[in-house]
Amino acid sequence: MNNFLFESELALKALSSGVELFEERYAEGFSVHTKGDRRDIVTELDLLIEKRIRDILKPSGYRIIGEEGTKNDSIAVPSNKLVWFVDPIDGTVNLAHTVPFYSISIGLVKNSSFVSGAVALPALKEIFFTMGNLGAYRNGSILSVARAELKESLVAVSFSSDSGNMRKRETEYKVFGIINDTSRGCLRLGSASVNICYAAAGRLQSVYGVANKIWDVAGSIAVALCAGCRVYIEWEKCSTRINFVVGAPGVADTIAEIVNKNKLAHLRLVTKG
Amino acid sequence: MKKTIIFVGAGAIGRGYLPWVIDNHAYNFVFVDINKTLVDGLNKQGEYKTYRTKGNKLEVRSVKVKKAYSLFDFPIHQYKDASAVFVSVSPRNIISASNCLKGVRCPVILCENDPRTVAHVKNNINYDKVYFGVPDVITSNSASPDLLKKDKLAIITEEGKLFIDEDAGVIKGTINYCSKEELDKQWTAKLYLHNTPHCIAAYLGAFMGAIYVHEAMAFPQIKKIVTGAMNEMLTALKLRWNIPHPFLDWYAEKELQRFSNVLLYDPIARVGREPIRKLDLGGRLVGAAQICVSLGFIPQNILTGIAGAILFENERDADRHLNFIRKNLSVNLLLTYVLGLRKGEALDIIMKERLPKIIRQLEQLVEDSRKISIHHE
Repeated sequence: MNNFLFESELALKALSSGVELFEERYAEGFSVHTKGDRRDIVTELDLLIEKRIRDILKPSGYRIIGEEGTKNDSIAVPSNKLVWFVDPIDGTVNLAHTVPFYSISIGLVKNSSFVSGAVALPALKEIFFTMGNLGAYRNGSILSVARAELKESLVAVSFSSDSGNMRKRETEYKVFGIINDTSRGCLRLGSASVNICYAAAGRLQSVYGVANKIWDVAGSIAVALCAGCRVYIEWEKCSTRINFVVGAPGVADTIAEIVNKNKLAHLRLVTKG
Repeated sequence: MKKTIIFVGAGAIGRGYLPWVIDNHAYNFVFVDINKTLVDGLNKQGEYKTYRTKGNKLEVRSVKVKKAYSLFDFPIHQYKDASAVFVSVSPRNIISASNCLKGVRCPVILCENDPRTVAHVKNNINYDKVYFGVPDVITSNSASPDLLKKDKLAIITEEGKLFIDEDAGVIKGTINYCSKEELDKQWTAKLYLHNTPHCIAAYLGAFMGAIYVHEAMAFPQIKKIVTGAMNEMLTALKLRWNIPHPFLDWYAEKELQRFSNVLLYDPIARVGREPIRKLDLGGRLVGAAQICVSLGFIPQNILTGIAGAILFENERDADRHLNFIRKNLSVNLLLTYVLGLRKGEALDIIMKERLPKIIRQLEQLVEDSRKISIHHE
C-alpha cells in the first residue's frame, strides 16, 4: 500500500526550490500583468516558480496541472489518476499589494482523495506539509486540530471570482452574513490556501470557499486532512472549480450544513487517504 | 494523618529524583502519568526502588505508591487537601498535562526545562499559585539491566539539589527555597552549563552509535567537543551575566564529571529527545550560539552540537519528522523556517557557511572511530 512518503518528499523538495526562487526574485523586484479581469493578475514570479516546480515533480510520472502552465479548457477533474496541482502564487493580488497572505502550493489528488500537500507562506516564513500519511506539520511542529463550535470560532471565506452571476453572489453574501453573525467573525484574507493552512494550524476554526480553483486549495486541503480537520467538498461539473468547507470537527459540520441548506453548494464529507 | 504530594509525570524527575528530596515519612505519594503500562505497574507493585549515585556507589530507597492514575482519569477533586503538586512532563506536554489540574487548591511546582511554562499553566488552569522549580540533577528514566531485572520500575538518579521559588510555601524535605534572583541564577547555569553540553554529548553519541551518555563521553573526540562547548558557554556567561565566576567554574566542572557517570545509565534517546524543541530560538543550542555570536565570538563546538541535533535520528522520537525536513528542505529554509533564524542575521550567515562542513567533519568522526575499532579487533 502506498503511504505517499515518496510523493511528500518530492512535494517538499519542489516547494523548497520554488520558495528559494521566490525569495531570490522577490528581492530583485517583479512586474505584474492583468490576465482577465482586474482581480486576475499574474506576476513573472508565478511563471518562473511554476516551471521550477514542474521540473522537480516531473520524475513522479503523474500529470501536473498548474495555474499558469495549463490551458483550463483541456482539464478534466476530478481524475481517477494521481494529479499534481500547482499554484505558484495563491493570493497574487495580496502579493502585488504587499499584504503577506499569499502562498506557494503543491497538492497531489486522485478523485476526491487529497494524498499529499506542501504549502509555503514566504512572507510569514511558514511551511505546511504532509509526511506521507503519518502527519501534517507547520515548520517543525505537528498539527492537530481540536473540536470547536461556531459561536466561539473565527472563520474565513474565499468568495468566487464569478462576480457576474448576481444570483449566486446574493446567496454567497447571505451565507456570509449568517456565518459572520453567528461566529466571532468571518474574515476574507484573499488566499484560500492561507485560509486552509490557518484552519489546519487551529488559528481559524473553519474556512469555506465557493468556486475556487482546485490548484488554489489542493495542497492545503491535504495538509488539513492530515491535521485532523473535517473536509467537505463539491467539484463543480466540467470545470477546475471546487466548493469546500474545512475546519475543526463541530464548526466545519455546522458551516457545511448552512452552505448546503442555502443551496450555495452540495458538499460531501471527504475522508483522509 | 499523612498529607499528599501529587507527582504529575512519573518519569525521571517525578519518580526517580523527587522522592529523594521530599520527606516520604510526612507525605503519601500519588502519581499521575500518561503511560498506562507504567500507571498499572505502579498500582500493581505498590512500591518501587529508586537508586541514587553517591561517589561510585548506589544508595537505594523504596518508594511507597499510595495510588497512581492515568492522566485522563485523575480526580483532582478528591485531593483538595494535597500539600503540593510537582509537574515534570516535558515542556511540550505541559498544557495537555496541566488540564488535569483544573480546580487544584495547593501550590503547583513545575520542574520543567523552561520557565515560560509557569505562565502557560497559570493561563491554562486559571490559577495563580504556579511556581518554577529547578532540579539541579541528572536523572535517568531507566536503570541498568541488572537493576531492572529485580524491579522493572527501578530508576537511577544522582544526588542533586532542588531549587524552588520561595513563594511556593514549605514542603517538608531537603528543598532549597530561594529568591527569584537566585532561581534565575540557578536556571541560567542549568540551561547553558548543563542542558547545552549535555544534549551535545547525546547528539554526538547518537551519531557514533552510543546508547548511554556516559558511553558517548568515553569517545575522546566527543569529550573534546563537549568540553569545548562548555568552555564557550562559560565564557559567554561570564561576559553576559553578573553571576560570580567561581560559581560558574564550579558548576561547569561538576557537570562535566556528571556526564561521564557510569552508574547513571542515562539513555541518549532521553537526553536528545525532541531535537526541534532543543533547537528552539531562545534555547540551549541555537539560543546559546546566538549569545556567543552577540558577544563577538563564533562557538564552533556549539555549532557542531546544532549539526548533531539536526542529524539526530530516532524512529521513536516525537520529532522524527526533522529527518524528513532535513532531507527535503534546503539549508536556507531549514535555518529560517524551522530554526526561526532571520535571513541575513549573523548566525544564519555563519550556519549557512559552516553547516555542510561540520556535517562532513561529523561523518569523518564516525569513519575514524570505525577504523580505530577495526584496528583494535
